[in-house]
Amino acid sequence: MTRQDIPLLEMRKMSVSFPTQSGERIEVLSEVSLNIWPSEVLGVVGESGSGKSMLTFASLGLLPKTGRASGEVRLRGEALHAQHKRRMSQVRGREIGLIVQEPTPSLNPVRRIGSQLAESARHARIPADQIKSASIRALDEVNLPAEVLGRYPGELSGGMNQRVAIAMVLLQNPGVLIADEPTTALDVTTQYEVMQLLEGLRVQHEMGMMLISHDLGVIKAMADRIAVMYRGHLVELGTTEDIVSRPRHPYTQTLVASAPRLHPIEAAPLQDSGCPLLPGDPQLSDDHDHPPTLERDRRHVVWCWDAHHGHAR
Amino acid sequence: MLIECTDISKQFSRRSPRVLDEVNIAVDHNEAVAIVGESGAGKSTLGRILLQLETATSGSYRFEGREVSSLRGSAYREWRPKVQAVMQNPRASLNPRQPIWVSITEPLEALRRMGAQQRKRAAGDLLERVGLPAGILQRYPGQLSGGQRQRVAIARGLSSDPKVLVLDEPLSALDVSARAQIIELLAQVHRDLQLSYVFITHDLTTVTELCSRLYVLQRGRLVEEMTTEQMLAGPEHEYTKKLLSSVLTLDSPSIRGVA
Repeated sequence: MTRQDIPLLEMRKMSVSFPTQSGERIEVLSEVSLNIWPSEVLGVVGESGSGKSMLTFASLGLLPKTGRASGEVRLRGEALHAQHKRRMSQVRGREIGLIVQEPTPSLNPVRRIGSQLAESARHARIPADQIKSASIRALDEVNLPAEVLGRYPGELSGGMNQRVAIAMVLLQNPGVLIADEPTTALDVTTQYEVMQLLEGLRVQHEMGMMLISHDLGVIKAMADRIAVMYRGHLVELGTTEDIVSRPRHPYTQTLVASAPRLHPIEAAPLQDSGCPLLPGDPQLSDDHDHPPTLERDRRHVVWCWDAHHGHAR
Repeated sequence: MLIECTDISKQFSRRSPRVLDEVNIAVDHNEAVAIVGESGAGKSTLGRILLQLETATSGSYRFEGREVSSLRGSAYREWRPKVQAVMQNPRASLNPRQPIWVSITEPLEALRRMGAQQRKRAAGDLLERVGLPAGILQRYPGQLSGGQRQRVAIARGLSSDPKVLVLDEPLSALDVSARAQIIELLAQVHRDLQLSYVFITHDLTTVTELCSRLYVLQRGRLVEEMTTEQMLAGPEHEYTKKLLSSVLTLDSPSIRGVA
């Protein structure tokens, strides 16, 4: 059913800008192109301000009013346009599931879990007489008992609410799942359980997945490929093994070197290569274009102005 | 021993469950010790008791051999600057309407009696210790990055020349690159000033990077106490084992296929 030769989700030259107080526009995402392929987990890693969440918001037409987006989004080859509100609202949830960092505030605090699951079920066009059984089945899939239907979000732990959010996604059975910092607000042991749960459901429901996180350890545990974002730019894209073991962009090298470890390694100092996208660089030049591409092979791509000086160590 | 807590219990009301249940910890001079646990473990409450922002319902808290809860008047004022805090969110612990130099010199009464010029000089020295330029003295917290704000919070914690810093998740609000720099700074401060750290965290990687010993709390109870080497070699308690195997770092096995 799913064609393997076209991406599930194709994001092409996605840019986002916001107005500043002085009326100028500031670009927070610059021409980022990424594909999610069938049954793949694409990890997107970046720190605060990297634009990693903007990519999701822009792709799903969820930007605030002042935000301006450009670029192309294709779902299984079909072009999506943010201004086609009806089509976008069908796509959100039913075809692209979204899980966000804070499950508790993303649920309605004054409605029982059962009624919120029912809304997802209706959105998925599940017949009225099957909504309850489908809801119980979805809760069972995320290891929650049926009695949760009668509870309010405030009565559940953060980990349980995240499971409820996942159950809401499952009811709609989307082909693509975007998980934006899904475990960041959770305790370590709960994080591990939710990650295992997501992995099991992803396989069972044959979902392609984009896992967004600031935590390279979380990404590495699950992703097939990793995209590294920095200040609105995609700076490196490669297989998980390549990015973690052979990072080429100086920013990726810093990210890998400063990743928390149980057995700390001696971090090599950052070399000044003259690349304007280097961390610590006071500002990007105003007239910058997208950095030229250094392609090592088709599976590992680095974007950097200073590519020819070679960032590889 | 610098700090000795014996059978510390805490209940916020008589009917509520114990947040801390007969907890024993000891911290030596110049030692970096971690209190590890997940949310609800009681680790922050324990930190607040060490700072005397809370009092224990029962148990003994001795500092240099003296019962802290019995300190009064000048004895209390003498003790107070010896234990200082660095909290998770420097944005909340620094007054946004106060320039940096005021925030930094505030904890010390002796400094408060000084003139503005002297205080600024003292603040400048403290900023230098935490790797910030004296040029930011006049700035406000909102003008700094998260990492810079946490450096300011550390400078403030050091201003009274304390013997112990209680650090409650000081890294968890930071980006990884800023986090690595703050870890380096804390290690350096620990080496140079020979003070003790009580490091409250949910994150075992922080423990191995900075602490030589750790206590593991689960729902108010101390379940295990060990050196960092012992923890890495393999903890004994089931809960500590679970904590350790849940940590996802670049060295952890993939969860693909195991689910």
